[in-house]
Amino acid sequence: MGTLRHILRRLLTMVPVLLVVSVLTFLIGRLAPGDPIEAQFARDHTPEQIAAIRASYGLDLPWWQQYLKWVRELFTAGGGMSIAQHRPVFEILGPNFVNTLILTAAGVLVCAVFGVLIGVLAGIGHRRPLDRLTMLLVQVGGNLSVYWFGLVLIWIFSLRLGWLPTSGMYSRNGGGLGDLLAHLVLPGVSAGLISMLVLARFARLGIIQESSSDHVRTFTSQGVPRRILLGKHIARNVLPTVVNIIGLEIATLITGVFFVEHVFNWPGIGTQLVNAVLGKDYALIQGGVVLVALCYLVVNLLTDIAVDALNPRLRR
Amino acid sequence: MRSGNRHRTAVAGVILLLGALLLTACGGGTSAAGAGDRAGGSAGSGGAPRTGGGLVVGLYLEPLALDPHRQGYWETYRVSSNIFEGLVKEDLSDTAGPTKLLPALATDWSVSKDGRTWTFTLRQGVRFHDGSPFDAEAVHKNVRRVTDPGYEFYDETSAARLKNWLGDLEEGRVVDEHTYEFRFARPFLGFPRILAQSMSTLTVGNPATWERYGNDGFAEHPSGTGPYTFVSRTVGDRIVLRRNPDYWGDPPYLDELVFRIIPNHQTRLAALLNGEVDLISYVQPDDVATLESRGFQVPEGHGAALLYFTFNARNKAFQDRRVRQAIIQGIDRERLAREVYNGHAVALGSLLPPGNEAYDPQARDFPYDPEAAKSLLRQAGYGPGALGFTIVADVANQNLAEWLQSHLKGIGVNVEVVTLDRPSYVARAFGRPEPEDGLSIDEYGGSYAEWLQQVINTNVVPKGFDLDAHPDLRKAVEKARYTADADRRIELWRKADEQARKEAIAIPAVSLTRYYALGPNVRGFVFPATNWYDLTKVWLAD
Repeated sequence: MGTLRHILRRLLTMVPVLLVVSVLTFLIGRLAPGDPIEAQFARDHTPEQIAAIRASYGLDLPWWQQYLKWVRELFTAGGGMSIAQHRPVFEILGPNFVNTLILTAAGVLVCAVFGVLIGVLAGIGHRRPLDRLTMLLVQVGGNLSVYWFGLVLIWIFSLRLGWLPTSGMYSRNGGGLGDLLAHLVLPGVSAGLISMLVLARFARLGIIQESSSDHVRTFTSQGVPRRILLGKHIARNVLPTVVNIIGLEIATLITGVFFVEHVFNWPGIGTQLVNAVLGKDYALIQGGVVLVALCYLVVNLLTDIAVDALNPRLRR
Repeated sequence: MRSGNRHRTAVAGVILLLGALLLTACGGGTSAAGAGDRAGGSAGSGGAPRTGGGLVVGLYLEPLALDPHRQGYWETYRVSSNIFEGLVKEDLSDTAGPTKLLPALATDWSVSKDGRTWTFTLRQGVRFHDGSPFDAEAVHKNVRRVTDPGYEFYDETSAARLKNWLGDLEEGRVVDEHTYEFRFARPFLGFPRILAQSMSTLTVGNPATWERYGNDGFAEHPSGTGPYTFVSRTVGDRIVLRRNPDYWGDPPYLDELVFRIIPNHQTRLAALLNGEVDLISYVQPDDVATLESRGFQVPEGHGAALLYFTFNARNKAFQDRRVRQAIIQGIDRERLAREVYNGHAVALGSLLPPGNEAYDPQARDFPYDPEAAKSLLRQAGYGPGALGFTIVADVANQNLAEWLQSHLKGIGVNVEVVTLDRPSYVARAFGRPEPEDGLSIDEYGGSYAEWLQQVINTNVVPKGFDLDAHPDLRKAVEKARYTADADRRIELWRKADEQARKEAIAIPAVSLTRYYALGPNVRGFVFPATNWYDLTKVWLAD
């Protein structure tokens, strides 16, 4: 029952975190220069009309009243009205948020599969040429700009080789899972690249450390075959680290796929939030940030639970 | 030898990666395909038009509301002009300009002798997309939506946008089922051409739709009389339209139009190169050569618009005409066109750009003359280095602002540059300028002569320029705007422009060369002398 209490406690601590996030997002939006109503209407509306429009969005109220109004709307009115689009925020963000999750999932898959693969290969071949080369690639790759990397991928695989589409989610007459997957490959690889390299480093390090740990050395001296050592003893101890890193990286990916969405014109919330920031569409920005923060927290919680379950030593 | 195997796989992977990198490195060479035809702005004509298929257009920004009276951005109108029509339209096959006017939802129009009353004969047998009839009553509801606070569906936002043109409307009247009459307080001879514009005008929407969904809900169910009907819109992704089978005019060739929103220039270009889209706007001049070498068509044109700088007249320095003139004379616009836009621009000397009905190629404000500029500044009390101000610009115009900054040093003026995102820019330039703000940078324009009054009312006066203190200019503009003499109208606008030039109210800079790019199999596209295009004449070859 301890685990359940633990989870419940973690859930409760999410509340103050979300509260702080919501206040900060709210304040940062208001403190930034520019006025959404003036930006949209200053050219052809009189000051009186602008004041009336501002009042209709409640933007004439003191800031704390605006904040409370917005928090209420988060639960009752779909996150409030978007100033630019005249529709409830969650109705606007909903479909695109699913797209962002799809892209994130692809990134996670790339990260998990290739990250572990590279890390394990390098870890096993520690100090051999393969390890050195892999680590060199990891070093170089870790410093790549996702933006540039995405464009290079488009250049090679879409324009030169013609294997994959350049952008978007579906072909012109498309639809169907195959079409979606074809569109997902390049953005997925771009999104997962950095996380994959991070994971590879940790996986490699974990294997190297575990391989030289006392108990493994003891097993080795007793003649336990290397394959069993790896599969049973080393992997088991490295796994929690790997899961932990993947969890952290999922959280990073959710907030980091925006660049990838931009390069590949993926219709996720990143594009929408950039537009919202440019248009100072307060409700939309705030709704988006809170949504992303919530995902971040949930993923962190799930990761913790998974790591707990995998690592008996952490159980109390 | 197990690890040896793994070794080989990994090495193979690395080689593959290096090979791929090598491929990019070698990819610089261009295949020498024939260049597309660009002359005259029309592209890919020839062969018998083929019906069917779908065209995918790559837009560079998200269109605003698909509402005939709330339009903003030309990119919005390039979509919505397929859904909504006006009473009058511009001839979109006209590449020379100023565009001719053609009947659209009105078949004929005439004006009373005093120039105040316009009577439109409406096209018969036209229906909105939901089947409800287009008639004088429908036009009346459109007029009421943007002018009559007593109407249940009066839309204040739209009314404000249209005030410049309909502020003078005394009465809109249903004469009979197919005749509608506008009576203005003063003569308004430019009215038909205004009706053929994209934004802030009376494009006709389906009243049944706003009666059902409300004014805010209209844009989610846009309905008009146009050649295409609305199917779906996913913000941030795409807008889909389908051919209207009951269209009153020439049926369009294409079955479907898809507008994809692709803000990133490289991604939009890549999507075109890879055949995922057929037409893109806002092609970067640097990409023109690449596109042409690969067999893509790149029609170019100017679209009756200009880039211009306006003064912050709340800054005391710019209340002095000599200072304004000095700044104009201190800027070499030919050099600006060459250095900032690599020659993809034409230097101007008037706020009436090529393509405008009152454009006069001879019209020049003040020639570039740094010595004259310095002496004017001295006369106004500003010795070398004494005058300083801020240029406020949209981030997109940062290069230009910085160029002006270094260039104006030549006449001893110290400029600071502040670049802001779009909304902050608009709010500061048009709403609340700082006291030391000097110039701001905008681009707009149209084929109508009344543009001159529009730019004064929306860009010059709001920045503190007092028209009452310049009675000659004020009178000249009013004379042109409210003349009842059709033969003299253009001449009067040119006179008003002359007055505006003399007073140095703003700095006309350049008309930018714009490029669309089309896939090799797109036919029938024309870059007309205005800021949108006709997709009903476009078809796809095999």
